[in-house]
Amino acid sequence: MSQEVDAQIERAREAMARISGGRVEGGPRPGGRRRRGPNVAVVRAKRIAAAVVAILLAAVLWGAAVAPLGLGGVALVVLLVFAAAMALAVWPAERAPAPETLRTGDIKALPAQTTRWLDGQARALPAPAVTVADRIAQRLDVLSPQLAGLAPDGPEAAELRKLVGEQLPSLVGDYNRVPPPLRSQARNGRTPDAELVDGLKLIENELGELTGRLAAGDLDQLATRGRFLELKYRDGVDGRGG
Amino acid sequence: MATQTDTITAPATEDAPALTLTPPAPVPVVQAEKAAGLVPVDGATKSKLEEKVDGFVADLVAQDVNSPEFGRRVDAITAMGSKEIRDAAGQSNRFLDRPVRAMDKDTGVGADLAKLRRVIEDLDPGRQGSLTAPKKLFGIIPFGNKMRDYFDSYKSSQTHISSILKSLSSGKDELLMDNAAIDTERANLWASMGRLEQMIHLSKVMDQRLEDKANELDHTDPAKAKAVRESALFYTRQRTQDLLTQMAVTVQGYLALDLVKKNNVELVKGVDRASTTTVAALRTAVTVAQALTNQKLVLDQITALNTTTANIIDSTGKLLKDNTARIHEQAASSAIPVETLQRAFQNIYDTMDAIDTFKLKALDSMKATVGTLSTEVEKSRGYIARAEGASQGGRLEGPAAEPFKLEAL
Repeated sequence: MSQEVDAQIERAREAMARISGGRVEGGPRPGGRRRRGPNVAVVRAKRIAAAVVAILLAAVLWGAAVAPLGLGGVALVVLLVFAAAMALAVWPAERAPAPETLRTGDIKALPAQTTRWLDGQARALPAPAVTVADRIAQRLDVLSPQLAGLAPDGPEAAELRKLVGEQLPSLVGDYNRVPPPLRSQARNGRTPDAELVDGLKLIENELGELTGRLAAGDLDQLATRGRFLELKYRDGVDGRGG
Repeated sequence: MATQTDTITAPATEDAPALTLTPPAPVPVVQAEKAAGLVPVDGATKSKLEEKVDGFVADLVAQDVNSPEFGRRVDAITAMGSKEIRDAAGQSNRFLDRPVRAMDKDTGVGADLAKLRRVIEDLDPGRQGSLTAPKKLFGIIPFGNKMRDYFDSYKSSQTHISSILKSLSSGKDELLMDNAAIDTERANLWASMGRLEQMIHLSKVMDQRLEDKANELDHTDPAKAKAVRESALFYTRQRTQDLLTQMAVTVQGYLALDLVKKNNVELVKGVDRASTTTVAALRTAVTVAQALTNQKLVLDQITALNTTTANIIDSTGKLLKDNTARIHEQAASSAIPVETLQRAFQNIYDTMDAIDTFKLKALDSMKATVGTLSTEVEKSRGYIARAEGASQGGRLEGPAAEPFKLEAL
């Protein structure tokens, strides 16, 4: 019960943040619950542009070489353009990567793959778990650029792989194997739904801490640089003045 | 920098007050029992922690001792502070690394000072034999002027000296950067110690409350009192010890970082002084050359360095501006201008000797500190391993989904 209340409060908080234009730390970004990697959208836009250009070019050539298009032809071209754009906007459907890919794939692609995999799982998850899954996706978004400078076989990389490559799919897989009618029935005082949500929350929390740990080096670097400037210039000026 | 003035205006009379670089004393072993209490925990936080403990103990005692719920709460005690210990331990490698690197003397500033010393020794008027004696070809025929040749050697050395001075100044920047990094690390360690301190307080209060509770239960429910003593209280005491051990190591690392920082500050002083005395000696040489041989010794490189590095090498620019007039006067009127130059060189040697002595003593302090620190870090590793093991099962939540994590605020 308190789970649901928490979830409700969380949702209300996010709604407030959206309205006020701010952003809740760890909450979904305003405008759009689901996001895909920017490269996916770009690839699709390019495909659509190519298709539209091809159709128009074909129409011009037909009009010049074979026969004038006429009103019906122009209408047909317009229809074709629309149809192609619509079709390419949804096709080919993104396929969620298999859990094996998460376990063995490139560490830098891991956040994007995991987000896609989570998107694919969303239908099977209970509502509160979807909220947490969204937050995990959000965390992964933040984490993604941090991985650029990460050694692929360092301890942090191993930890991330273990967390989102192994534990996360295992948790969701374990939940999915529980027959649906049993999922909301309490066992030993807890429902599988609640177990899933708690597990996901821990993963989300751990991802947040990982982000903090990875950022610690950069934060230290920044603080050190600032302190150095102080030591060299501000303290130096004081020293000369006094 | 009145020192320089004195030295140059009254060259033959007294030594410049020696540059004293004080090596800091080695960091002693911090006893675990005395480690707590260094970082203050404010009253509000304390009372919040105590509330947390009271709630936890009440909750624990309400459970059946044989139930898994009781076990889960005991697990929470076992895992108590493991995050804080892990955080603090994560930094221990880094603070061991620093003093070790600081001891590596053949790099940066040390190497530059050695180079500078070699060049200066070549120019030392004391090593040139009698400069005033006439130079003779085959020892018989008067030929050339020894003094003139000597001052000419400055021209060929100036590029070398100015490059050494430049690299000394960037070495000084490195030392400052090192100190800035130490400040950041110390700030992080201070925060870690604050959290450890909170956990130590929590753990000690837990000990007290559990003890009281067990005594109270002795009359009503002896079995429960026994369970509380044997599991909850036992683990609480173990955790207190772990936390104190980690605290001791962290405090020691914190102090060791301060030692490295102080060493760096002294070295920066030394580098400043070495640069200043060198430039002063060259300036003196220019003036003396003018007085003795009517030779215009133009040291472009050094002059350029003066103007561009006046801000980098502390006080050099100011000192030289103040003194130029006096050196002129001194060298022109003095009967013994070569001694003036000799004195200027002696200043450089004194500075370098002071730095060398300092480095030797500092090295001893550093070695002693690293020795004790590594022993303590090694000791605490065992505790950390235990903390790691405990944290595997520690992050459980009760059936009410109310986490009873015991952690710092």
